[in-house]
Amino acid sequence: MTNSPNIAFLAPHTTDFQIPDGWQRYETVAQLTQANSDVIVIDLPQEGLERAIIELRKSIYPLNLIFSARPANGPLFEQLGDGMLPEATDAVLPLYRLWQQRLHSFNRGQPSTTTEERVLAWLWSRPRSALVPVRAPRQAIPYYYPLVDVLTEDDTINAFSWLQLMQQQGLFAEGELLDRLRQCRECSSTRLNYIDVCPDCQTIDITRQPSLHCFTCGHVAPQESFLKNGTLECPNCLTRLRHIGSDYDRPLENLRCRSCNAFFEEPLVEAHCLDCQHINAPEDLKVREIRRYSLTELGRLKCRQGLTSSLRDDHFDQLNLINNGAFRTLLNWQIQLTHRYKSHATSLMAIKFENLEAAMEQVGEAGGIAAIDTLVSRIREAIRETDRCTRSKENLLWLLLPNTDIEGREALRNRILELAQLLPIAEHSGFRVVVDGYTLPMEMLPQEDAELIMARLSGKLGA
Amino acid sequence: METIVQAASQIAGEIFGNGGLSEWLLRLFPFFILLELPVYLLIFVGVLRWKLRERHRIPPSRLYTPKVSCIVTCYSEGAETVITLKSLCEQLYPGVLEIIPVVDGASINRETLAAIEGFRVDPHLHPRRTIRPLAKWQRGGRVSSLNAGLHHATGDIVLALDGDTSFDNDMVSQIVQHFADPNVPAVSGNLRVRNRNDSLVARIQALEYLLSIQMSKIGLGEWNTINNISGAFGAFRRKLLTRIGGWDTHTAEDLDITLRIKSYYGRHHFRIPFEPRAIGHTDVPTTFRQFLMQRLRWDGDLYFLFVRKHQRNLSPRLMGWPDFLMTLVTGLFFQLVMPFLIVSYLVVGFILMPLSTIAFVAVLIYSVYFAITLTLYLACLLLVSERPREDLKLLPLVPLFPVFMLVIRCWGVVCTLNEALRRGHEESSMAPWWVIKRGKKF
Repeated sequence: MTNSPNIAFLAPHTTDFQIPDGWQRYETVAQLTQANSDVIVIDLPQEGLERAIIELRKSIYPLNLIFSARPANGPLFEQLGDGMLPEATDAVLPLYRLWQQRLHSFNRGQPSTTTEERVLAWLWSRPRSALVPVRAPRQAIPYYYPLVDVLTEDDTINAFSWLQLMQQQGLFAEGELLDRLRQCRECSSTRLNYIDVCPDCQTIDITRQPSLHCFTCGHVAPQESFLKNGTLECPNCLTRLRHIGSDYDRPLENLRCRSCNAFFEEPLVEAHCLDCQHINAPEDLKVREIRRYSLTELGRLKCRQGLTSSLRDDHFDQLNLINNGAFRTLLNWQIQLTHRYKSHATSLMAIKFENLEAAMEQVGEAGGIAAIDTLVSRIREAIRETDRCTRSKENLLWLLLPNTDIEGREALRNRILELAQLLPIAEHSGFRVVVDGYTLPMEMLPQEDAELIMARLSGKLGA
Repeated sequence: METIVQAASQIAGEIFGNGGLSEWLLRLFPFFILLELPVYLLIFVGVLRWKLRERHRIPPSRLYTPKVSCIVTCYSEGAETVITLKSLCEQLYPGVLEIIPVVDGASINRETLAAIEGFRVDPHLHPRRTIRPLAKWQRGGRVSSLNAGLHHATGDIVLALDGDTSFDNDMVSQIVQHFADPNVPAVSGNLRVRNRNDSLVARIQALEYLLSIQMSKIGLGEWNTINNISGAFGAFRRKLLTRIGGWDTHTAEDLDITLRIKSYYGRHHFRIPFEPRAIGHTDVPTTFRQFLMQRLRWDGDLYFLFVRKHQRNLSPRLMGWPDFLMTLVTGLFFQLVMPFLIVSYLVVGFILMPLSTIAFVAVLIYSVYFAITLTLYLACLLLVSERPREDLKLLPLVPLFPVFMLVIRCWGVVCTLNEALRRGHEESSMAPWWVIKRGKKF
């Protein structure tokens, strides 16, 4: 961990900004990409700022903190930058520390090289950040995700499909829906022209043709055939049609194709792609939803525990964790046993780590993880080989203790609480281990099953 | 005529002997009929003349197509206004038509306003038709609606139309062609009864519109002595309208503006034609009581306009001799004096004459009027009517028509007295009282 970061100041021209001591000044992005800075401060107008930040993100600074020395806004900077430089330049240091710690704990300290790793690292290193689409009205697809674009090592990746994949893997959560696009089946362009055409010959040269209905003889024909010397006369019965509603009316307004002379009521609507000229039926168009994306709980867990490892490989795995369903089945089985053999005693214990997240942020990711590791290995020592463990939430651990009565349960509880006291992070405010238990058959209520018991216990723990 | 009278006198003499009373009556009998006959003759000749001209008429020019603004005054007609607007959109006129429906008292006539605002002109079906509704939130009367519409109108020709009147699709083409003559300041349109099948009262009014309005206006129009441009359907040159200050407050704004335009006849070669082929279909009162109330207003307004408001306008210097004389006879004498004569005759007759004499004279008078009615009706059917089939259905009403006219004449006395003694025009429903109160008193 470096104590004082290298701060680069990028300003091509003379600037009014008082550059603090120790900051390196650069005039071009090219110079900056040759150097090795930790934090970058840019003093450029909006347009230059956006250009510079895109270049920097694509270079050796994909994840570094980048501030603007001037007030800056716009969706692009909001997405790729880290906001305005704090007024007190000293405040950069704690921000940098936090960023560095989080990045250090990401993926067990492995360097991020793939798109997936970089984007996850970005979202991990900046809590509460999200992938926000930015409008690009002139593009064939009028939205793009600047972060995915700049953090992609090659241009072949399709950000939309990639995001969908990440979402299917459970790493990204769908956020606010911002727009819905209809895209050409062939080229995915949204530049479509919806055009009404003749349903018979598909030409666009169609025209509305008002028709008249003669009340006297019931003749219906296009209006032109009724017009005679500036008056209306039925071509069939030669009656003068003088007044709408009493002599004639307009029963229908058909369309006529000027190319094939077809008469029709409803035209066919086609979506013509202006880019590839493909003709789509409107119902065949691809529908794309434009949303914000953020990290899911699972995504955060993977960031912390390493992207290559699966869930079972986490610290708590040393406790021989079984899945929730299996745990509940076992508990139900134990309940049935106690119903059948009254002397049979079984205990259930819930351990909740309160404010784990906040405590970890305080002590740093690495310190927190080390502390949890310690605690888990001590719990392992305290329980028996025949006990079973599961976890229903990240911070809620369940122990099923067969052949354990209330005294045995209380003894275990005290030991766990003592162990928790020994943890280095326990001194910090907020972090607390809460343990509660339940013993069959003494405390059992009629009709209760595993689900209800676990819900009742977690309710007592406030989880 | 004299021979007929002599013959009748002979017959009567044979019946009554040489009684002085019947002779005196017979001398009295032709007195007012003889005054009416020349006018009927004039009308009849006018209709014949129109028919002759009509046969050699060139179809409406498609070259003269000025922009036309249609001011449609609406009040509580509701969805019925849509029929009017639709019939205007359907016009075959090749020029631009600007439709301005003006809703008077829009804050209370929500239904009418909603119907108009919901009406859309399909630019593909009806090109060159625009609709610009005006909502007058505060009620101000028909005159204020017309003037508001006139203020927003941009067409060269302005049509003043009623919201309960719809039009044949060649109406605008027919009426506009007259304006090609720069001496035409206004044209009167032809009205037919739309709801003629609603009741007997409506049916007999349909016949009245056909004979007394359509036929007589064709006849009078031929001699450029048209009596009135109907409020429900008139066409004006906008320049002239704005120059004479639009419509004037008070009731009967249609006759008022007609008389005001006519007062230029003496100085200009103006001509107000009647176009029987420009046809509007309007609703008439369906009950007898409603009918009498409408006539109370109409005939009372005649007295108000001729005697009170336009007394000084009625001069040959302003109107020109032909129109002055015609107004004197048809307007003042027939409408205001004749009813009194007829009623007096009736009263005196009933007092002085024996019942058999009354019956004879009644049959005689009836026969004369029936003959006139039948002649006019047949002439209308054969020469004028564009819907002869429909109008033929009114034939059974022809015998009833003279009686109907007698009732109208008698009611005319009430109307005139109501205006002369009670200033009935100030009770008009055509404008709210707070507007009428402020109008200049005549």
